[in-house]
Amino acid sequence: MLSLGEDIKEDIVHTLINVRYELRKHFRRKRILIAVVLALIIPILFYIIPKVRNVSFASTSVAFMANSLGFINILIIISAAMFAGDAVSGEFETRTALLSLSTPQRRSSIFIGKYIASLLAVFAIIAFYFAICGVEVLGVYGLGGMPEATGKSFLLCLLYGTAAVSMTFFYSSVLKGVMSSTLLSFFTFLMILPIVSALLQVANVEPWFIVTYSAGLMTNVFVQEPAFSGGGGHNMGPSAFTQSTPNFTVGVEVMAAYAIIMFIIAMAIAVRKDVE
Amino acid sequence: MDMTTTKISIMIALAMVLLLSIPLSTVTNAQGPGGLPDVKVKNMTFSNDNPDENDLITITALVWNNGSKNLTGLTVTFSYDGTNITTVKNISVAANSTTTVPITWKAIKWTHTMAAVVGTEKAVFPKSVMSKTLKVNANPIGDPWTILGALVAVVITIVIAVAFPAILSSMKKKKMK
Repeated sequence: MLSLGEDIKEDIVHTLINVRYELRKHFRRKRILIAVVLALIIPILFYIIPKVRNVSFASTSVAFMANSLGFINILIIISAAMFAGDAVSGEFETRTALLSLSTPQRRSSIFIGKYIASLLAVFAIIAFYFAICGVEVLGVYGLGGMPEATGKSFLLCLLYGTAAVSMTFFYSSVLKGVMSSTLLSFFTFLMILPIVSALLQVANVEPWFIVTYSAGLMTNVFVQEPAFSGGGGHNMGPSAFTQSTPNFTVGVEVMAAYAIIMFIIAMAIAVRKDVE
Repeated sequence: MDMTTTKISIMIALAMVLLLSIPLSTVTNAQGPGGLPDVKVKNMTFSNDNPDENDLITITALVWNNGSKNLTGLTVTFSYDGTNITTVKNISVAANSTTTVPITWKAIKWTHTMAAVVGTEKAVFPKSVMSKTLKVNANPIGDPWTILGALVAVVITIVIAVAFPAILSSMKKKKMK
């Protein structure tokens, strides 16, 4: 009989084995390759198109970085759906979850292993995207051109990525089909939550509790002056912009809350899910 | 046209002149084109030309009286992007001289058109306006430690989740014993 310490140690070892196995699976299924290609193409387009069209780059590196990172939100959502969409539902749809009954591992170890592997994959894609953007900034604006807020934006992207992965795991645990869990996760982040957020704003209610609203911080940390401000007379720019900007601390707390709560609920459901 | 009609016309004309002069009645010795005093904001300076959001900056308007007579009871209205900041009242400017009118403003982020205009308590002199652009740097949003704290909280949750089933199982075994 194992002591508590040995039991925990064994669970950690099992979790790490699952992480390694899941990462290998992502590589084998070319998911990482697809995500890497996307992470390469999106920022490169922001560099190539102005060059081809002979249009000057943004006047500041901050504006350039903020523009380039405008699509990282979508990349995070795609990555989360791709790496986590089938994590739990896939095992039940193909009935491979039956195999877990005969292994000495706990279901929680398998679940956490899959979760960590998905997180690592999403983090790697985010890091790659930032690396490409960083190289572009250095190429266009020189060594001193790197905006100070880049680090903050990177950390916020990691946090949002965690929230997206947790939410996708939640859908994957609740639903039985891979397609439904992946699509629902994708549409939740890309359509449902942004629409709810927009409707609340129309009703003059700040949607601070919606994670996609908090995700605006990923580029807002660059504190770019809105394009529609300035000039003479009354300008609606600054005030309108300020009202629709999420509060930093609240935004971070909301993203962390989604990540933690969804992870716990997803794990509780996945561990108890019956294999039919 | 008889004499009575002529007299009435003159009286109406005089009354109209008097009525028109009422808004400027507080300004003594009106002069300049159109009956308005030849006074304007000649320059506007900021204590800090590159302020950060929420900085208190002093905006100083240099009011110039180009006329030959002293002016009293003037006002200077300061605004940003057409929104009033404040109006400084009871300003006197001697003939052919200038006076400074300072105010303090808490800087609001983004680029603004700052303006100062001379007038009286009842009207402003549009031609006396002076405007300048001022860019107020927005304060950096947030700090990385808050985000790192949130990420650490997620990591701790995962670590607890790894250990929790083993702890639960150990407690169950103890109970059974």
